[in-house]
Amino acid sequence: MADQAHFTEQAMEYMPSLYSAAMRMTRNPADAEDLVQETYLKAYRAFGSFQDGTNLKAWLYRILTNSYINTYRAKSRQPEIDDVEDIEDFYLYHRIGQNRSLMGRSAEDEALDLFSDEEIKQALESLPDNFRIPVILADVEGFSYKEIADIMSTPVGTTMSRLHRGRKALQKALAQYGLERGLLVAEPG
Amino acid sequence: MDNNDADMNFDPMTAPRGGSYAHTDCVEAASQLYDFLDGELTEDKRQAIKMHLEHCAPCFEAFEFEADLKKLVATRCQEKVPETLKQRIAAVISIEEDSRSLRADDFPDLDVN
Repeated sequence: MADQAHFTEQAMEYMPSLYSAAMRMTRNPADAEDLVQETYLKAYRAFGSFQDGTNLKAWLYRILTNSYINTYRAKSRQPEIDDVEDIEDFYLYHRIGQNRSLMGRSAEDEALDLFSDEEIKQALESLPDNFRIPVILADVEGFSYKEIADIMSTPVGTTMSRLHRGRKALQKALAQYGLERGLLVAEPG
Repeated sequence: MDNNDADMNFDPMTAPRGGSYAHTDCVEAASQLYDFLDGELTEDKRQAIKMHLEHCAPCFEAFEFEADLKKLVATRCQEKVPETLKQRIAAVISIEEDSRSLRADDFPDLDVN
């Protein structure tokens, strides 16, 4: 049992990461703020059921993720997309490698710096929820597969598959931005 | 590993995709790319991939790119919390705390906890 009197001192430090995740989930600041506020209110009320010494950050993310899915996804009225296309391994690496002359002969990892913050964010936000959320939780927040599975209430195998496919879809989206900006040319053939 | 030379000569950049030319060790490493980067492999498997990467420059570069991309997503997607949100949340929690202590004060005989 956690004491509500200690909620503020323990939970507030996670606000920047919760807000960053909320921005990528809802894709706009107004909804992200409401989502984080809702998360803290629910967490405060339920804090008595939080087991001291367990993972507070993961517990807060479970509340955030459930609130997002129940409130904001429902509000969007968009059909839930449960699939992304299969994309080959090392997709972006290969695409940049094929365009080294265009990318100023820079090494592939330096070529990544050509993408703006906005492009990285938009590429992530372009993924369907079921693929975007695992990528946010793994890459932005550093949660383990088991923790992500617990947060999303999905089996570990499903979680891993969505995370891996979500990352490849992110690479395809980035390659598309590279194409639009003339950093990459269309794949031969 | 007695096939280091073969590893060095294999280039995933030029090898036909999904074709039969790809070196078995490289294909095996690629299939475990994300588990490796995410620290989700057993120690034995992690060491096997590490060993392969030490001997296979093309795979090493490709893995390094993927690791850089993962870091890039983490660093570029951080947001600064608006001051107004911090204040809103502090206010909401404060109201909750007040109403909770009020309920407790109203009913001194009840153990609300």
